[in-house]
Amino acid sequence: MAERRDDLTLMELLARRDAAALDALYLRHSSLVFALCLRILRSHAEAEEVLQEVFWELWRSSGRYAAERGSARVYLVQLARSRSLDRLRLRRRREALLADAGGPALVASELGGDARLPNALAAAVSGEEKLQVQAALCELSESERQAVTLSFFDGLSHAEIAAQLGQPLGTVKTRIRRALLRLRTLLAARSGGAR
Amino acid sequence: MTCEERRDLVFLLAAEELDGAERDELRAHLSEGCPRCLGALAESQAIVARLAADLEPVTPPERVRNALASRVALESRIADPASHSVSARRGWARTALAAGLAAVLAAGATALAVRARVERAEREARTRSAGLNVIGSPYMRAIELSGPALEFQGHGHLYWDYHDGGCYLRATGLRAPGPGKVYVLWFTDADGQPLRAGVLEVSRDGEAQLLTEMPRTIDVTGQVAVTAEVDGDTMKPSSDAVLHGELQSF
Repeated sequence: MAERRDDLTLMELLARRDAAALDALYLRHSSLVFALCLRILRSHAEAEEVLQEVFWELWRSSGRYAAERGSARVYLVQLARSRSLDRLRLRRRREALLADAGGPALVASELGGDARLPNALAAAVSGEEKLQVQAALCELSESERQAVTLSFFDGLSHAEIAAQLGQPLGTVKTRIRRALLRLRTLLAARSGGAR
Repeated sequence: MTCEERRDLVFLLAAEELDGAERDELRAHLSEGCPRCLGALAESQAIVARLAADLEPVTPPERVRNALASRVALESRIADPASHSVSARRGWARTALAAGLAAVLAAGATALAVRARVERAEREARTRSAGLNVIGSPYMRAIELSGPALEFQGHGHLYWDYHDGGCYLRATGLRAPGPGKVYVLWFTDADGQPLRAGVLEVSRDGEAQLLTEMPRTIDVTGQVAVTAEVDGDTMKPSSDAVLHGELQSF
């Protein structure tokens, strides 16, 4: 709750075009946003671009931010996931075009290496929540966990997941929905009800 | 369908797992401002965001933070140049004084000259505004430009939206290009040959800007340069660069 309150203060300052507030929000949330971008994009260069894009968008739209819509972290994670998926789709379209043209495949993963240094503050803040999410994921069946991981964290489309798992598209779609709805129930219960 | 029945769909919408008619119907309902479903959406978005907590945080390179700070500072300077630096304010004061004196001295001047000044100011404002769109693009790349020698104190950036090809150059500290000369922006193609990209507009205080399109045949690891030319339409640079940068430097 303290984080949420602090974020609200920072967002109010941001709405008044306070660049220091943007920097503070960046220091607080960039490691989580970057981790999500990296997980989906598997490319350091692209993840860095999306990270900057997400905070730039936060800066540009700060005057329109409505606190009742959720915390800054919720907003940033949503934006990061959405922009990363957009970027991933764009990359796949380009790869498809290149493949059609018989050109070389684009550079694949650049993930790993020295940039995987956890931010101590962010790790501490999210530690308890991380355990809750992991526990909730463990309560899913193996097939549900696999499907939701491929969809949510890896950004694969339903068709891609179906192809990868060798399952019918309808089955995959149903499984992901069921798994997500179970996660909702489990996470809401673990945090003492919905916020 | 009742709001209670929509509850699951709202969560799937937050998780971006809803498509087609279901998504359109729900969005239409939300756009009507249903407080219960909007509340459920906010609650769902919070839960979806919590899923990201499963990830191990990764500290991004410091250059991302620096680039963001530069972008914010630049936006502020461009959007409101008068309020962000003492020198800029002095510049404004000088301009205002000069404008006042000019008004007295040029009492008999033609309306045409005044109109030309107004049009120039409007054109510069439009370029600045369009430049902000380039800078604000998620596909923007900033290439640093600097003078090659101490005698050239110019400095600037070329902002390139590599998605739609728009380019915005902004530089400061440039000396007047000389009588009858203009500053021209150049790129290089894959063979190292120059590609003319446009003529810079230079204000009296040495600020220059140009909004243009990136030539399609550029070498993406090639050079960027600004030279002073007698002929603004020339296709080949004839003097040393007053500003220089490398596209691969971003």
